[in-house]
Amino acid sequence: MIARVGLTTAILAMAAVAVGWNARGMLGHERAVRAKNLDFLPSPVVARALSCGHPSSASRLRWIDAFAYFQFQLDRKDDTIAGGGSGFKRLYDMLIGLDPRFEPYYQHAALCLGGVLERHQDELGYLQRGTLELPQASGLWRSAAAVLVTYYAWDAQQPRNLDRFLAAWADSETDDNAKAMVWQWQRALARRRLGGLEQVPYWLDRLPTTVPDSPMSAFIEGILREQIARYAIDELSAVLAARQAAGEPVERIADLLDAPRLATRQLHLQLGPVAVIDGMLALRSDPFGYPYQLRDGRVSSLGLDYRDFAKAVAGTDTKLQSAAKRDGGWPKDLDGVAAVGVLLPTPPPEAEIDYRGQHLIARIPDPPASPLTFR
Amino acid sequence: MILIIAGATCREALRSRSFLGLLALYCLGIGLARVVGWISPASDDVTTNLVLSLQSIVGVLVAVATGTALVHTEIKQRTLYTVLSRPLARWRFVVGKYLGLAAALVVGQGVMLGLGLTWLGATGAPLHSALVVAGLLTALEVLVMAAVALCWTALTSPLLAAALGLATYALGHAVATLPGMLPYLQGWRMTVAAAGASLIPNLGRFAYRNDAVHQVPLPPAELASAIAYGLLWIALLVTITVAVYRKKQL
Repeated sequence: MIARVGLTTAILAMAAVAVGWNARGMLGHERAVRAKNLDFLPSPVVARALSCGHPSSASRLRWIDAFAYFQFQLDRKDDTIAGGGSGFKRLYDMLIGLDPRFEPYYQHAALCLGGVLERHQDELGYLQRGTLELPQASGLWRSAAAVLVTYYAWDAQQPRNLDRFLAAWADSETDDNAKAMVWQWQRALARRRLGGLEQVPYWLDRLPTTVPDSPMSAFIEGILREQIARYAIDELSAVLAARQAAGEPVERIADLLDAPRLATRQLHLQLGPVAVIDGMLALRSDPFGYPYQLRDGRVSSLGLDYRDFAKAVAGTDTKLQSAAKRDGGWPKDLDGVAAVGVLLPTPPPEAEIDYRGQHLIARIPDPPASPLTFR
Repeated sequence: MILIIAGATCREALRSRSFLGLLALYCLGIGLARVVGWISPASDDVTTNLVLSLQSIVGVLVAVATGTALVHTEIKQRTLYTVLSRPLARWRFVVGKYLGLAAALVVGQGVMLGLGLTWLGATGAPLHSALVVAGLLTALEVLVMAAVALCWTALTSPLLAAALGLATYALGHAVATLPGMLPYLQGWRMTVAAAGASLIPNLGRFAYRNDAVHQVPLPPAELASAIAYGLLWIALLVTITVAVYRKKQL
């Protein structure tokens, strides 16, 4: 009896330790970027043969496994580092070959190759392949149309071809509401001429194809915020330059709320940096939720500076990981990081770099206002 | 007599540890499939895919594990001699054994399909009739694999039969993709490859699950063709098994 109780207790204790050990490794695991070559991926035909009758499941699992590479690609904007010599095209060709009826593969391929790497020819290729395979997938048609207009200027240079493309899109739609949507899209196109914000409509079209709170959604929203912030900086800088040229003082950012000069800029009412509140001009927060600032005689967006800083820290961290693998060990502290030849980026006001768990982390204060949302 | 043997075999298979263990593994698997779905941006599709795949994989494991042990256990426990000492033709014994195993597998597949669809429904994934058809064709695939396992057991040892059974499963699905690869071959090589592949059951005919997730309808003629194809292979493999056991010294 005692032996049995002892054995049971020992088993329970060891099981608890084993489970706790496993859970600790999983729950405390920080997201890390993998840089593994993807050249080992088989061709679509061979992959189908190897999937043992489960090509859909195999492609989904492979897709999920590849998310780490996508993150790497977003950080470095170079798919040949993690994607092998042929880049991510091989991965997408394999995924689509395994399950050609899964729309997110085309959207993801287009977004990564066109949106991130700016290879719009490849992007258009995947989107058109998708429209052939899934003619009723409105999202693919819409994305392809956005690429044709934004990057190939078909509306200005080849309006007849654009009309034919839109007619093919409308023909592929099965109900009248969807057909009407095509022409609504074309009408909206004419209203979306935005000086300095040319790519915003393209990204706004791409955003609904992503899942809210996913890395891709965050990436697109980040691009939109960046473009809006840069637009605001350009416009406010123009006012600053005009005032300086006229010898008028500019000591604070609020001095740029110069109604006559702002009027000449014809700012975008919703996305521009200036709003009218209670009949008075007021500066909006930047799209990241931080204030615009006048720093060192230049207009800056604190949110954009923080974002650039976070990206620079992520890039520096990748260099640190490479240096650590080369040297066979990690530095103990930030001074040690600089000592191994990794140059640390200069933090913007109130931001700092932290070194924890063998990774460099950007510490950024929370925004005082809510970031601009687009959904 | 065939039905008595089938009934006893079915009860034995349903009570076997491997059967219940793999069923428990399936339950764990579909639970984890939901977790995988959460990671993916298209969670419902991924979960449905994995649940359907698990039904096939676990079903085939049950068929191979149980099918290869079927006659071997009878020999090991010497119960076979009690049965064969009666005025019973060996073909009746083999057919009874297969029918018993098939009945147990159908019960298992039904339970898995029911649990899988219930789980998908409970977690918010869209349910449609194509999933049921996919599940039924998977059950037929498993029955073919049971016949394969039984046939390999007649020809080799149980362990080797299990390995060969799983290899047949992989090859059977690879055969389905062969038409896409044949153009890479030329002349006699293409003929040899096509002839070799024709000796293996094309399990791709039962893999409607890949299309069912996208609600692509299966034409009734194709469904009937797949059922006829499955029944033909089952009949062929069971007949081969009977022929081997007729000559075999037990």
